[in-house]
Amino acid sequence: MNDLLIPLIFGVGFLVVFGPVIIWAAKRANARDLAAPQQPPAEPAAKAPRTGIAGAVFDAREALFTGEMVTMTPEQRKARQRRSTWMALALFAFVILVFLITMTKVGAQIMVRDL
Amino acid sequence: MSDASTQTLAIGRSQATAMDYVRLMKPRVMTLVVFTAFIGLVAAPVHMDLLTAASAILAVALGSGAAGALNMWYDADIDALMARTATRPVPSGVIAPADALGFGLVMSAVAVTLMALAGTLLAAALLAFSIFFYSVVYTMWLKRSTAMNIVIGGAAGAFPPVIGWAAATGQAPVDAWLMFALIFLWTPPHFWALSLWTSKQYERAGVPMLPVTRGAAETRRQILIYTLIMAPFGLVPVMTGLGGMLYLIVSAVGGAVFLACAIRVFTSRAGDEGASLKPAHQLFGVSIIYLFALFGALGLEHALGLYLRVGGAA
Repeated sequence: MNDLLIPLIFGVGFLVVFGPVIIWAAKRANARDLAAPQQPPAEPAAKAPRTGIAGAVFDAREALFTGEMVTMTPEQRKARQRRSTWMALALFAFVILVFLITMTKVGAQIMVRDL
Repeated sequence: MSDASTQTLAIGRSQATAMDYVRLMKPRVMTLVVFTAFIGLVAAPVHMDLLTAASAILAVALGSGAAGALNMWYDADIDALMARTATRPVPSGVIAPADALGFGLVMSAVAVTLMALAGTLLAAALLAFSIFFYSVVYTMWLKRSTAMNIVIGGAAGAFPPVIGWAAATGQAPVDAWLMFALIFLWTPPHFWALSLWTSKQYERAGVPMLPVTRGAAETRRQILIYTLIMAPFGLVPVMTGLGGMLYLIVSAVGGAVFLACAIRVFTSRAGDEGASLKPAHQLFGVSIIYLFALFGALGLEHALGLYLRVGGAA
């Protein structure tokens, strides 16, 4: 159990230690950005027609959180789809890797237990 | 949801591809980091099975990439001012700063967790510290505040062989720290050679690199001083038994060539207005080959059994 728990605690602990510093840095960066001259907001563009169920679901999901509808160009939508695919593949590979490492490390002792 | 409660806005949406995220991880730097970590792992006197060894190296690569992403996120403002870095994903607008920050943080956590799982807790702790050191101590603090940024900040890039060694053994003995010291001493002359021809860009961005604050002549002098320390130090692993005959030859010849290039830079006017930058370019190229050759020799000796102890039998 410890073989899995300790690494997870370690990863979360890293964020706990690292997080405050990053937040501090983010605040500093924000302050810097605010000090910089502001760009005028872009003109609203015409609403693009939704394509397919996935497009409608994504638009509705974003509206749920922000109250705003986001219009994406076909290129942007395609780029997001590609990124999502890569992310899914990476997550799948990570899960498989963790499983294999666990099996390699624990495998030899898996039958050694109190009955 | 009624139409009255919704607004259609044209807001910036990323067209970034997976390759842009790979660029965000500084793949060229990652190559050196992975290579030296691999050598640290191979030089350690413990056998590690292929899967866990590959996973540990992957963790180092992800950690390096995470640190690179955090660096690009924080430095986007100055990167935009330098021709060398203006095309990076964040300053060029391909990846939003918040996305780079999120990517860097998630990758950091994944890398450290993976290292703790595949390697050892010491290796994971060292990896976490090196990410912290590069992105916070070097990027956020030293880089913009002192001309010695590269000297102290070089420690971040020197950790990988120690991490590799610790991943295999759970320990970090003197030999592992010798490899750390080799990279640590190599970093200043390597980067100062580069800064001799990029000083104008650093100046415009307000980064206090040595040529900007102390001038090209002082930089050439410091390059020579550090090389005079680094080249003989390259032979120390032979004394501890880490390096064998092959390493001795590579280290001696490589150190001599490195020193010759540093002397050439010192006696030149590289970095001065209108002067030839060829000696600086040459030193920069030689420095990369030198480090790869040094660690390559260690790797060949330990991985392929070419180790021949200097002054005795293997």
